[in-house]
Amino acid sequence: MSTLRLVREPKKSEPILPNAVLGTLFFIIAESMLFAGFISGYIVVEANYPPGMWPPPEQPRLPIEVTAVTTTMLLASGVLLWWAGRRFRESADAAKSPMGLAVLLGALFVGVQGVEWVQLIGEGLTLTSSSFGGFFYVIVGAHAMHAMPAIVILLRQRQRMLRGELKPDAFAAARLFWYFVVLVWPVLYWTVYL
Amino acid sequence: MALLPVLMMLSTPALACPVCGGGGANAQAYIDTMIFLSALPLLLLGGVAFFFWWKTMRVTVDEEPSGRLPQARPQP
Amino acid sequence: MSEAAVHPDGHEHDHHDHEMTFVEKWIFPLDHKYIGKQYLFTGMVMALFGGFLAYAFRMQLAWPGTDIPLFGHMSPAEYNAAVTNHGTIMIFWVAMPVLIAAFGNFLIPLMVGADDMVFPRLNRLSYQVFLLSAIVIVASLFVPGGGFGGAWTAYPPLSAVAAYNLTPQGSTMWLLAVALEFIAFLIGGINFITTAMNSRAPGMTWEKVPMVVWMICIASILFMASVGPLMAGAVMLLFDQTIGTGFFDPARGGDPILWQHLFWFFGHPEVYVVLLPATGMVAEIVPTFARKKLFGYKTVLFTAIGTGVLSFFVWAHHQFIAGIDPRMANVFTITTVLISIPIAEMMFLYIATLYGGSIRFTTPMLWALGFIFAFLIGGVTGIPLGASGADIYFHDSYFVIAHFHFTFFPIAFIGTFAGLTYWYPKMFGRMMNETLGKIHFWGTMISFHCLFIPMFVLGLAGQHRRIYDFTNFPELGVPFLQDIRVFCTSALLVLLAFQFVFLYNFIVSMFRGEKASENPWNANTLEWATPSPPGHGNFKEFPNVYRGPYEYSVPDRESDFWPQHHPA
Repeated sequence: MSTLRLVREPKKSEPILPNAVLGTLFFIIAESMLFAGFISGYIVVEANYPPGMWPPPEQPRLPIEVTAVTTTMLLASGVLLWWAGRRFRESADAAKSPMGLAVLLGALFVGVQGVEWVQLIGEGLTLTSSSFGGFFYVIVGAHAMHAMPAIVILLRQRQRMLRGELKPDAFAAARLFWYFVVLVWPVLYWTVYL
Repeated sequence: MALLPVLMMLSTPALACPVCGGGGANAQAYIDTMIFLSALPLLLLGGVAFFFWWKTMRVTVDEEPSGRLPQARPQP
Repeated sequence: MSEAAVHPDGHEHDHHDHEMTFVEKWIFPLDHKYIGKQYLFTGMVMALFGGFLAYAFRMQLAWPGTDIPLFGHMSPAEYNAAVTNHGTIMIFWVAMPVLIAAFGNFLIPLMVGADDMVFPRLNRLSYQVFLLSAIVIVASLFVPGGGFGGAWTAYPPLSAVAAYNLTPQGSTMWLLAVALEFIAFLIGGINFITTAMNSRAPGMTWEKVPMVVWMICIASILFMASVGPLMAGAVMLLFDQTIGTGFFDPARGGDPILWQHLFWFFGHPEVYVVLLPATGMVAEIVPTFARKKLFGYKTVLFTAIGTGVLSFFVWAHHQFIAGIDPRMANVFTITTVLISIPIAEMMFLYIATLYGGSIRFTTPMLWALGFIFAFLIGGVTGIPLGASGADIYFHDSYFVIAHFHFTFFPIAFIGTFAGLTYWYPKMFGRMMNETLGKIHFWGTMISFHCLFIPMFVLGLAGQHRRIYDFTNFPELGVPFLQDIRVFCTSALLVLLAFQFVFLYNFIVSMFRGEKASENPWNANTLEWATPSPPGHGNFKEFPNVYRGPYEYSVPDRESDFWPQHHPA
């Protein structure tokens, strides 16, 4: 049996991921390394202290329990956004409420963090009060600097969704970025708070 | 590569070194973070590369006509 | 197939080959070719500035204390600032923008057969942030207190505490400029990778992508995966400088070695970030002028990937005497010596490409061969530095200076000249003058070797890197060593003088050069299928790709090249 080889015009290969999602994916890799840098710094400086001296005894304790609750909220917001993405494939209307709830939970998380910061500063934990305070504010602040723009972007996308103008690629990219914000937080919580 | 663990065992920290001071928590933290920082990008990029490989494999299998010819329905 | 179908989510503006206005071209360009040229010109201006700083401090080293023409008397603080900013500018504002951003922007869409980058607006933003960073770094030299003088590695506590470095504003601006520059390249790198992955012409499978596109993408991935920790360190250092945190201050529970840790995690992959695009350009030029297929396309690719993987495991070799655990030093010695294997293999594959080819010694080819020659010297001299035992002696000596200039000069200048002279016809539509090009080549190569080979001798004699005036040291101020320093400085003056030959050739050819045809070098890759220079939207007819990029001298064909887009 002979093989028949057809010469045909080459076909444009379908992108595996759309442009916006692919760009976001590489951005997330860079950002993961940013947090890896902070975590490494934290681990190294923590090891400079004798056991029991970190966090320094005279400094206020972090609100572990409240943050555990807000961490759960953030994780729930990630799940809700994932669900919104599933619903969005059917219709924009179906995704409206889970997305709104997800953004609300995310905003609530950032808000509670802000209240925590005000309290901690009042109790004497500041950027300059100790290395521990410095790392706490820099790491948590870096996370907030990612969460807040992400919330703004999601809010804008929700408006577009209500008008029926939201592009699926842009939504997928924003979701991907929000998953990063959600999933990096438990790592930071485990490192800094526990 | 098999030599690496052996070499790590053979050398002991130089006690004369003012900074490393013969091990301790700080030196261990540096070793840990070195491994962490070096391995993390490879894990991330390896994950992405694997994802693309897996997707490409699926796409090519779907497009491949041979071996996937519709089976003749067995006649009762 | 309509353009809209090929690039459904590209930019919205009109994409036909209309004549762009000056503002569209140079002030707010969205066209990748003009953004690439902006990067190129900015990089060239910064190279002149960095070269001037080198001239100033070399004059001080050769004839200490005398008035330097065009500079005047140099104080120790000015010397430190000149050395620091020479290094920073040459790496971050010359090598990076020219090799990755300029060539990446110009070449990637053309070589993969796309009309533009996938995110043209982000691309423009990337250049604007970069330009801002360049302005900040230059301005940092003229603020009260002078420019930052704590070496390009900026080790704390010298960089963190204003009472030590005495340049409170200069050091903060230096750090800000570096951080801004990283943001610019982060945006640019995302664009390069996404374009190369999603906008390739029909038929361009991964083994048909030109090598330089591969290399720029691998370099961008390396950059993105390594820059994070340094950004983290930069934020902490900035807080140490400005609001008085103590991340790197041991008296307050911080750790000064931590900065080195975060800096070199980026700092060493950075070497490969700039190396890979240069080797990629050599991989395009060598087959074209040897009229022979690139020897071992896949092997070259895998050596590049192998280099990328290993480059994450070598960075601590910069800290052998900073007090890292000797057990780790052993491991990093081995990985450092290992990484020379893929790079050496890549160079030998290029040499194997030459074997049996009908070589044409044009200016780009001379530069490409010069790159292989000079870079191999740079690579070989790195091995004693990578060995932790030998490094204890060589550390911070002129041997290190000579070694990394033998790697960075071939990358940032020889490689760039190879690429520039090769793609000049495509960039500006005219040919460069070959005679002037060859004069420039020989003048640069000879004076470059005269400049840096003696520095190996100085380093072995024990000369330390960061000394303002060697005559204050009885062992180093002896006439023999001082003569070598004068010789080095003279070679530098010759080297700088020859660069004006290039500048003259570059500028005059832009207006007076012979008009270039579409494909003056008879090359195969897709950018030669466009008019010279390509109009807005690049291709008159979007190409399909039928074969690999290096099909030269295929038997039984009339012409000795076979462009990628010609149907069989």
